[in-house]
Amino acid sequence: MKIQHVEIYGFGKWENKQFDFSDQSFIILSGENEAGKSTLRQFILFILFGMPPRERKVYLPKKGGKLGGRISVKTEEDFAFTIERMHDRNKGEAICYTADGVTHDEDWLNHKLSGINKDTFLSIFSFDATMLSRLHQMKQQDIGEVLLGVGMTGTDQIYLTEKWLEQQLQDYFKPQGKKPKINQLMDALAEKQETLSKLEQDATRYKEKQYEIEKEKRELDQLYERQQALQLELQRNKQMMQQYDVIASFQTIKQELENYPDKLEFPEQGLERLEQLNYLLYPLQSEINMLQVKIEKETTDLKKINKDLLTVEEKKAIEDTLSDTIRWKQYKQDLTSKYKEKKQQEQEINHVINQLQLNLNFEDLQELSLPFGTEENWIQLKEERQELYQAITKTDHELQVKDGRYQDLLVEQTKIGEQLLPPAELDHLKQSIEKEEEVIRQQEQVSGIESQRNTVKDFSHQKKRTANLISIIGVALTAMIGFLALILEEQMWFIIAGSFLLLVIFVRWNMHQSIKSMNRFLMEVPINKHSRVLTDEALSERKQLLRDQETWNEQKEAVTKEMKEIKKNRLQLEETKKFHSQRQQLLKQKINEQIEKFPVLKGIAVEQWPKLYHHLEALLNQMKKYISLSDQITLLKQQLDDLEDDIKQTYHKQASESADISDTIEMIKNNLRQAIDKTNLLVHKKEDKEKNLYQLKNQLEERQAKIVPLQNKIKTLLELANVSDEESFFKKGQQKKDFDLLYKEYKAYQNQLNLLLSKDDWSQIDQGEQVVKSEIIAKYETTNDAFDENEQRIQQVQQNVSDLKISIKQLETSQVLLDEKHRYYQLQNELQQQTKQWAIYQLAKNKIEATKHIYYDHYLPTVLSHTTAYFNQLTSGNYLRVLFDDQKGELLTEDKYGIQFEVHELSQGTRDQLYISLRIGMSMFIKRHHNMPFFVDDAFVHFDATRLRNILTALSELANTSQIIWFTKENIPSYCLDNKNVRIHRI
Amino acid sequence: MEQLRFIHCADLHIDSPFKGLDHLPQALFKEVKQSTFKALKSLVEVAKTKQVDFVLMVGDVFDQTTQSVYAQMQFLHACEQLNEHNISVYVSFGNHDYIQRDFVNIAYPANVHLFKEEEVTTHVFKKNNQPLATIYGFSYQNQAVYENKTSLFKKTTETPYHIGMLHGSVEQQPEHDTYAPFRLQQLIDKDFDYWALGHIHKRQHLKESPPIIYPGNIQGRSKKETGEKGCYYVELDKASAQLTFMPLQSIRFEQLTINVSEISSIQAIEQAIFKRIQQLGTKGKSFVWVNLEYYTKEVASFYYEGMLADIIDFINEKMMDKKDWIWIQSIDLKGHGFIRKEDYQDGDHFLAQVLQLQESSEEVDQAINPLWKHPKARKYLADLSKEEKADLLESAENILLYQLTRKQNL
Repeated sequence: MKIQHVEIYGFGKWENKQFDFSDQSFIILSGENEAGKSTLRQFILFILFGMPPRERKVYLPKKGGKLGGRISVKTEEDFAFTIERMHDRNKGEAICYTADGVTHDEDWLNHKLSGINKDTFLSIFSFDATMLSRLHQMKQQDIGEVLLGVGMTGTDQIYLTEKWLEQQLQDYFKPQGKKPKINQLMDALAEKQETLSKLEQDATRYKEKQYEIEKEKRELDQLYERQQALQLELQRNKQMMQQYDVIASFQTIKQELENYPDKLEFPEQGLERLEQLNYLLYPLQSEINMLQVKIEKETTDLKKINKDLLTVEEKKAIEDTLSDTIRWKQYKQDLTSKYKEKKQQEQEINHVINQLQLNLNFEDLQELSLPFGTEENWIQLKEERQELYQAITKTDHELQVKDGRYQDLLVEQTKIGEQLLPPAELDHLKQSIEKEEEVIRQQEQVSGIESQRNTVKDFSHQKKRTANLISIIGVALTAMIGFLALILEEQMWFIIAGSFLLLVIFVRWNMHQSIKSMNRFLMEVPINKHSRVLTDEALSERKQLLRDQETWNEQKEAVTKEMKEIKKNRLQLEETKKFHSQRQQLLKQKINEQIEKFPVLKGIAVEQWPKLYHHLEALLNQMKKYISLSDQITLLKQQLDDLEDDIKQTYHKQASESADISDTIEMIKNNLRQAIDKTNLLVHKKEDKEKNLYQLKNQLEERQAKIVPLQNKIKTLLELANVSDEESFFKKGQQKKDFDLLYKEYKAYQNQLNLLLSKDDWSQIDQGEQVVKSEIIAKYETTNDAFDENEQRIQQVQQNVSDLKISIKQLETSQVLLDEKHRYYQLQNELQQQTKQWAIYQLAKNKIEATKHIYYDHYLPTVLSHTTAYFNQLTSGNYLRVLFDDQKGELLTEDKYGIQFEVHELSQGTRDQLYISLRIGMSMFIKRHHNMPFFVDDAFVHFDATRLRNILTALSELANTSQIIWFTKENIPSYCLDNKNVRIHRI
Repeated sequence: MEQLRFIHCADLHIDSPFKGLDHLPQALFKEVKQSTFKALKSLVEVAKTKQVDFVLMVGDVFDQTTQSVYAQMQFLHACEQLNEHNISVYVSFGNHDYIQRDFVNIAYPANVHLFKEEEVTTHVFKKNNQPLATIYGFSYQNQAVYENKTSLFKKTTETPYHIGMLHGSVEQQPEHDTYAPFRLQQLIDKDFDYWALGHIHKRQHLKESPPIIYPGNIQGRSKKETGEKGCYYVELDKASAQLTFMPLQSIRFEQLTINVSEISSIQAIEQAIFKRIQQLGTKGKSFVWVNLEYYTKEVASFYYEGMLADIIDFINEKMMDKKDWIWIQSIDLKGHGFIRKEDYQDGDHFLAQVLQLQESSEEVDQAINPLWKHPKARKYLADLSKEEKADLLESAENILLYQLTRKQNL
């Protein structure tokens, strides 16, 4: 088919525009951007294939005017017709006009187009740059597949569709997958099914549960029944237990009652009646008793009064005695005053005695008498004593003086003794002096003294030794004596020690001196062999010492003489003293005689005696007065005692019973007066008593009369009770009473038990069956246990029932199963939907696969042969063949050296050429049945000159069989212009 | 002669799951679950309002799926309510609830009369203590009853009326297994006053005199069971029968087909669908399956690119708040739209070859086996019928048509 003429009424920017393509096969439509190339292309597509209204609207002419146009075409068979379409006519459907003037509709047109629609047309007969650029963006490894698809459809749609389907299928389902929708659903369903089947099991158990609950309910009924029976039994047992005491009592009473006699005779209300009678009787009896006692007492009293009453004589005597007592009282008063006086006198005497501090008491004074001459005697004694005392005192003084002088002399004598050397020493001294004097004489003679030196030396040594020995012994001795002195604490020894020490020192010193002198002598002697022992000084010294010793001896003799004189005087004095002592002794004897005679003098100095005498004389006078008073008293007392005796005598006679010997007169007086008063009182009392006694006797008689009928009645009662005395009556009465009480109790228990116990229990007990408490308890407990057990069972079954009820109720009201079921089916639905969707994709994929295989087998070889020709031409003979690898399902190219390349191994330019070749090859194949014009739309923009030339050459060859319409904005290569087929339309 | 007034219903399928519903919001899902119960309630209400003598339930009261006890209780409750109003209930069990016989131990009230036997038995309905009607029926003892049961229906009483309850289908009726098959003439020959049929979910009057009626099910359960669903209120006397259809469904299932030839934008599609949905709105709660026919390439593109899902969501959201909501379950393309297969079928080009392919049933099976024989999936997937396979193949073709031709014109 070739387009002959294009007429645009209005389409986009085109209006009333005509293009004439008649008998042109390679049409170049050239123009700048926005010139309207694309619009023209769309217009041609619109007229040929129609356009949905919405798309059409885009091309409505801007200035109004009609949208539409017509195209005249001519088929291969030279059949020409014109297609016209208007936007607003017949829904944009085509009207075709044929030469015979007949118009045809869309269907006719479709038929003429042999099923080529816009899509197929575009995919097969239209080239543009977009596909090429898309191809450039393809992934290397996909390029072969894409180009293969191009070989089949002219586009990459197969590739894309397959990819898309694959993706969808993957999204829906993978045999081993987890994530795809269907896999997820399957898992969810499996899970849901499990839940569901569990719930369904529950639902099917509903029936079982109903059976179960029925069963349980039946059991419950039985249990209730049993519980009731047990309850009754339990109650009975409990009753028995509670009433056990009553039952026991009842039985005891019953037994007790059996002990009583069958018949008890006793008057009705006997005890009360008797009591009533006694009640009346007792007071009467007690009154009688009381009256009798009273009468007796009154009688006795009367007797006693009569006895106590005094006779007239007795009364007179008593009254006389009373007057005596008054007299006695007067005497008594006198006596008392005398006593007082006497006492005073005695006190005065004692006072004086005390004042004088005499060794004399009152009694001594009574004895004391002072004979004549006593006073003178006492004065003489006083004087003699004084004289003697003075003489003795004088003698004692003289003795004392003499003793003092003697003592002084003794001391002096001792002193002198100390100064004196012992006679041996004195001799030695005398000798040494003599010797010296002799030496002096010898010196004057000076003779060979040297020979004597050694002798002297030896002597010196010896002496030295001796001196040492002496000093050692001396010191030792001194120490010993000192020690002795310490022990004895005797001054004498100390002195001896001291002296001894001095002596030793002295001896030592002396010896030393002598040795020294000896030594000196020895020293000198050698020079002067007969030199002196002593110096001149030492010699004179010694001479002086000798003179001193002679003086001391003289003094010693004088002292001794005086001492003898004193001793002689003393003896004379002591003789005198002795004489005085004898006189004193004599005097003392006289004094003692006096003292013995007058003890009062004892302890009183003799000098005081004369003075004392006067005092004693006064005292004795007072004593005389005192004695006279004592005599008066004695007389008065005698009189008083006599009177008292009289009175007492009379009193005792009168009141011999009450009288007491010790009773004083006062008491007697009182007693007697009382006796008189008493007698007066008794007289009155006697009268009263007699009167009272009479009344009492009357009362007694009255009571006794009242008692008699009562006693008779009592007697009758006793007879009725068939007893002899009241005691028996009471005993029997009590028995009767007890019986009645027991019987009453018995009846009460009987009633109580009859009411409380079951008939059986009661009749058993009434018949006397023994009831044992432990048995009752045991029975009760057994029943109770059974009851509890049953109760528990009931609770258990009740629990079961309620559990079952709950679970049944739950099943009845639970919508869980409902929910789960619906969810399950919902999921299942979903799964079915999804699987269907999956199946659709799967089938679609299969369809593509199948179609591809058909293509491979039937069409692809033809397409590829065309492709090979063009590819060869386009690559200037570099590539010889395009092949299909059955096994891999891939395209292969073979270069002029026979080396095969997979598509993705080709350079991009070569690939583009392969694409163009495939498209053309494809078109060549398709156009066997559908020869349509080719639209080429700036497809080769990027091609270099050589390639462009090659392709244009190829296209111009193609133009021999097909019309080509090339839309371009480029300059047309000049070689194109040479081609006779080419027509250029500039727009 | 005393008039009989009764309700004839069948195929209650209480607590039956629904087909083709997925991704429902919780509230709707709940309503769906409750819909069969609600329909049952409505049935009771109708019976009460009309003060009928009895209710006939001709099989498939329950679904064959295991019943929750809850469902049993709902049914029991319904019976009790009817009992309170002194309305008898005659129940036979069908192919779907044959298993239900096990539940006879449920203490049904006295008004409930069950046909427990597979043999035809009778119950006599008495009104004012007078026998008025004899009701004949049988129950399925097994899932399937293949023999013709009509010969067992024999008049055994002298009651004024005779009513047959038969759960089965006319011999060779397609679409359903022919359970308890019968021929129309056989029923007519029985000279019964009313034939209460069950089993077929679509309402049908096989004959008007005597009435031989399928009341259909009382609640639709899939997009196939569209429109109103319910029971018949029958007033019967010797001279005539007055049948009144009483809709009971609580949710409707509807299919909408919309011509979208003039539409190429997504907004326009949405508007077109919404307009139609609103028109539907007066009919009560509905699930809607929308089919777009005469669709343009754009619409096809929207469809295949999953852009219509947004429309569904958008509209559903808008409708959700309404009492009588409408829920779009899916939007599908119907037919080929603007792409005319014929255009492609001729010629040597690839698409023509695709369209020329004629896959056999086995080829289809082979293709889908990876899933259909998958150990996990196969228990949920039934073998596909011829029709289904053809449908699938067509859909596959449509996809390829769309895929292989797209983008060229852009």
